Amino acid sequence: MTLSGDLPTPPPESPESPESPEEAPRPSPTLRFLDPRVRLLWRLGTGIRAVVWTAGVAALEHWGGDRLPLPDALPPGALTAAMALWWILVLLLLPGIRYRRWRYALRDADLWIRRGILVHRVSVIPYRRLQFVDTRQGPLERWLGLTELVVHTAAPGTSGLIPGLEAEEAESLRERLARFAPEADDEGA
Amino acid sequence: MTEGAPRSSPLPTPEAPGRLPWAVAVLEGRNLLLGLAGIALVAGDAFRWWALGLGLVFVGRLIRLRLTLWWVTDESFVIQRGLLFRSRRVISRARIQAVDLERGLLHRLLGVTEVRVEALGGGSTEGALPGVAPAQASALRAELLLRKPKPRQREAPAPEEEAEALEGEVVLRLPGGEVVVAGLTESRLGAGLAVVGVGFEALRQGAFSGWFGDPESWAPAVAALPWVALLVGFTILVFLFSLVLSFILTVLGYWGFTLRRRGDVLAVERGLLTQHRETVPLRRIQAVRVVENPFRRLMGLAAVKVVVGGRVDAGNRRSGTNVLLPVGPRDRAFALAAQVSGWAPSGEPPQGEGEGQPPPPVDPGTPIPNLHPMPRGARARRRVRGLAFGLLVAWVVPALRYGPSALLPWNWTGAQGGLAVGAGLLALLVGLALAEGAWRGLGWAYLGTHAAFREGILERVTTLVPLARLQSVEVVSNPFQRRRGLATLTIPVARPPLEEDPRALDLSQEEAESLRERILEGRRPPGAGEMGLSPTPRSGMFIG
Repeated sequence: MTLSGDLPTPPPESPESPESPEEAPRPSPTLRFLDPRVRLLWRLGTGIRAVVWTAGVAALEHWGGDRLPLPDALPPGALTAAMALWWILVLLLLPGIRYRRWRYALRDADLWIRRGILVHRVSVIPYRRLQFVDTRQGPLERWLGLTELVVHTAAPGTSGLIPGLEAEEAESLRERLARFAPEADDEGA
Repeated sequence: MTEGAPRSSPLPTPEAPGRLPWAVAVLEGRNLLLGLAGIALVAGDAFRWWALGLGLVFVGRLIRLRLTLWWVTDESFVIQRGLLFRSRRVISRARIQAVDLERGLLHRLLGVTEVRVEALGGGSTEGALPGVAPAQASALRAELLLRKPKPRQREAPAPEEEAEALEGEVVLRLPGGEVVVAGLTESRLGAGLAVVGVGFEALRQGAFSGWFGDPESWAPAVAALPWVALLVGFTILVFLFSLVLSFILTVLGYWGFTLRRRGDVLAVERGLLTQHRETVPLRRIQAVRVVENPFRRLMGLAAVKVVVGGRVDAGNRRSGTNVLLPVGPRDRAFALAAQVSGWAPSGEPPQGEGEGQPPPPVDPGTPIPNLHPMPRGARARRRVRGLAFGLLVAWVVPALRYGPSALLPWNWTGAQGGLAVGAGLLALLVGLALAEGAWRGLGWAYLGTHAAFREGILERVTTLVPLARLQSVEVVSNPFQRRRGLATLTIPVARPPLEEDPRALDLSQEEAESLRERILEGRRPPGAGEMGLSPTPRSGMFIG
C-alpha cells in the first residue's frame, strides 16, 4: 500500500525524468512534483534578494567607487550592471531547474526526497524515525497558499524538506506522518 | 550532608534532600582567586572596586551553592537551586544518558567528586553537582544507571557495595607500558616530529630566503642578527615542548585505563591526576570507529572510539570521553568494536543480492569485516587531485625560492622553470602515491545487521554502524562524482553535532542505490538480530 491513492490532489505522474533516470527509486511509487506555484514563490524570494544585492552594490559603487581597487578602464556602473545581470540569470534559470529536480515520493515505509541542482541529494527517511513534522508558512507562502513541510529525525539538522505543498495537503500529510510515534525505545538525541 | 538521610538509603530523598558539602566553597574560591588575578593584571587603580564586586558575586554563589538541594525519587533525579528565584530541575530517569564522575587534584584533596548527569535532548550538561562525597557519587551513578524507572523495593545496599556492583566485569585494562605506546604513536606527535624535521631542512637550505633577498646576503645577516636565530630556535623549542606536553597529557589522561561492562552499560575509568569515570550505555552507541594512524598501522595497532548519542562533549571538551581503547592490537580493537556495536559475525558471508560478490566469510574470533573496494572511477578522482597538487607545487615553489615575482609563470627564467618542473614532478609522484593510498583506504561492506565503511589516506578509520541506529539514508553526488558514475552514501545517526555521520565515499551510483534499498529493506522486518528495536510489525500501519 502506498499513500499515493488517498491524498487530496491527484499526483502528477512523472514518466519523464529526463535528468537522471538512474535515480528513480526501486519500488517505484508515484514520484511527485512540488506545487508548480512554488516557482513563483522562489522567483519572488530571489527577486527580493536580487534587488537588495544590486542596490547594495550600486550604493557601494556610487559612494565608495573611488576607493575600490578597480581597473580605470571600467565604465561607471559596470559592477552594478554585472550584479544585475547575474541576478537576472539566476532568476530566470534556477527556479525552473530546481522545480524540475525536486521530487518526493511516499513509499511504503519511508519518505523519499530528491533535490539539488549541482549536488544531487536523495534522502530516504523511514516513517518510524520521524521525531517531529513541522509545517512552515512565510508571508509570501501564505499569500500563495503554499506550505513547507519540514521533517526531523533524531539526527542533528533537518532531515527532509518539501517546500511547495498546497496548504491543505501539507496539513493532512503532517497529521498522517505525525501519527508515527518514534519507536518506544528510541536512541539518540 | 547526608546525616539526615535514613541509614538504609544512602541517597537523599525528597524528605531529606542532600546538600553540597562546604568543600565546594574551596572550589568556588579557586575561581575567585583566578578572577582576582585576572583583574589585578588589567584593572590597575580600580582594583579595589572590582575585587569588592567579585567578592560579592562569590558570596552570592556560595549562598546559592549552599541552598542547592538534590534528591532522587523513583522516577527522577532532582536539583533545586536558588534563594529568590527558585528553580527546580527534574530529570526523568528514562532520559538519563550518562552519569560521569570526575575528580581533579583539588577534588581529591577535598575528598569530593564532581557529578555530571547527561540527559537526552539537552544542549549542555543537564544536571551538575560540583562536589559530592565519593561514595555517594558512586551510589548515585549506580542508582541512576542501573536501577531504571522501576520502583525501589529492596533495601538499598550500602554505597560501597553499590559501587562494587557497578564495576562489573573488566573488559580490558591497559598496562602502563601500552599507555606510553598510545602517547608515543599519537599522530599529533608523529606529524609534529615530521614538521620539525622538514622545518630544519628548509632552514638549512634557505628555501624561504627568496622572500628576504639573496641567500648569500642572508646568511651573514643572520650571523649579524643573532636574535633571528634565537627567534627561530625559540619557536622550534615551543613546538617541541607542545609535543612533549601532548604526550604527557595523553599518558596522564589514559593512565590506568580500565573498561568495564555490566549489563548494558560500559564504564571507563582513567586518569592519573584527574580521575575520570565515564559511562556509556550500549544502546546509546550510534557507531563505532576503529582508528589506525600511520604509526599504529605499521605496528599493527589501532584505537577504538564510539559515537554516542546525546553526549554533548563527545571527543571535544575533554578528549577521550568516547575512547574505548586508546591503543591495542588490531584484532583486539576490531573484536571490541564488534562486541560493543552488537555485530556477531556468523562466519558466513551475508547473502548480498547486489552487484559485486558478497565479501568472504569473517572469522568470528577476530571479526575484521572484509570490505569491497570502491570502483576505478574513485581512484581516477583521487589521481586528478594528485595531478592538481603537482601543478600547484610547480607553480608555488619558484616563488618560494625566488620571491613573489616568480608567481607569474611567464616571468620564469630557465632556472626557475627547471625548479618548477622538478618540484612539480616530485609533488606529482607524491600526489599519485597518496591517491593510490587514499583509494586503497576506501572500502565498504553490508553485513546484514551492520554496515562497515572505511576511509582515510594515512589515518584509516573503519566505521561500524548498527543499521538499527540509522535515522535516514542519503545518497549524494556532486558533478565530479556524477562524471564518473559515483555517489556517496551517508547514514545519518543521532550523533553529537561535532561528530561525522558514517559514510561510504565514492560508491558506484548503482551500488549506492542498491545498498540504500538493501539497508532500508533489511531494517523493515523486525528481526531479532537488530539491537534495541521493538518488534512491532509495521505493515499496514500507514494506510490512510
